[in-house]
Amino acid sequence: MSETKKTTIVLFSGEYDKAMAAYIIANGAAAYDHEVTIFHTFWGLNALRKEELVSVKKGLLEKLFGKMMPRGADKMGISKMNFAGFGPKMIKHVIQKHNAMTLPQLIDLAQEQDIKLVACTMTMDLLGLQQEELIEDIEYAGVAAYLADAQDGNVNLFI
Amino acid sequence: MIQTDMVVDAKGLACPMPIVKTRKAMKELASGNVMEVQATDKGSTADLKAWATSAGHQYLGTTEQDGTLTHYVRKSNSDEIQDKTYPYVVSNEELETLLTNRAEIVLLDVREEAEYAFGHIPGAKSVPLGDLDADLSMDKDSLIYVICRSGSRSDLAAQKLTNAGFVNVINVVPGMSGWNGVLEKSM
Repeated sequence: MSETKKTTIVLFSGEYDKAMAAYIIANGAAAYDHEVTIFHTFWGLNALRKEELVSVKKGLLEKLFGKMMPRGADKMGISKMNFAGFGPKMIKHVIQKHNAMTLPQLIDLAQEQDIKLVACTMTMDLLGLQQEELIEDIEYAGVAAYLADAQDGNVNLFI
Repeated sequence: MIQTDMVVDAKGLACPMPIVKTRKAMKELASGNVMEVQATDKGSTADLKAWATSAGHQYLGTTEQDGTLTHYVRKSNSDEIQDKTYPYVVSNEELETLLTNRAEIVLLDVREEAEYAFGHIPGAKSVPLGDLDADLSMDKDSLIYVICRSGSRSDLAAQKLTNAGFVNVINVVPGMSGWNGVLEKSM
């Protein structure tokens, strides 16, 4: 086989379904023996949040942001038919019915397959998220690190 | 039932799990061996075919029974690029002419059972290279043509047969990978 191919995905969106699509493609690409990077920025960072409340020192605005955004992948809403939280319940029900994987499971699988999960540090500052609030074994970087992976990538997606 | 070296059960699993599981299991499989992947995901046929091709493995085919798809994949074998050393060879076309003229020959297909099942020359006898030692019941003088996919395994088989005392052994080059004649399936 030739040299390793690369897939890079920018996860900008904070919705359950969009994040799910990103993680399914990422896991598929890893099975293709691609080197995969998911760069989480803006609302996509919420997929990396720990579910439990982590007490860190924050200003008022950051605290508010933290409260208003979903804490962890499982709490995310969906992009269509959210119906104030009823939509995600429905989608999780059909996921179970069809034996598909839930978003938290897909994230676990991604880590198992050595997919590089990167949190954008600039947007972490904007949204007031701190490293302690995000899951373990992820990397922290900015746009240059992302571009270094993306410029010789074979698949680049923005979701 | 087609004999395989490894079975991966991905029944009931949705995309992307069949591929993720196959890839994991493929690492354990010895090269040249055949794996069967059982899945119920309808997209798995296209997925597995594309994945195998991209990873350099050989996708053999898929059967379906009671809603379960069984895919057969043979792990790529880097040994097959090696030089062929057995001196007596014929081309595919020459073999085809012999078969059309109904010549008195024994045609041995030394590929894996699954490869044979998804397409072989009518009248060819399946004896996978690994089982060749156990199956040397033919007449020592019979005219034996050995065929595989690329001519490498049949090269080894021809040498083995010659060493075992067979006197008329001929390798078909390149073999099934370049075969345009009639094919038969056995499933």
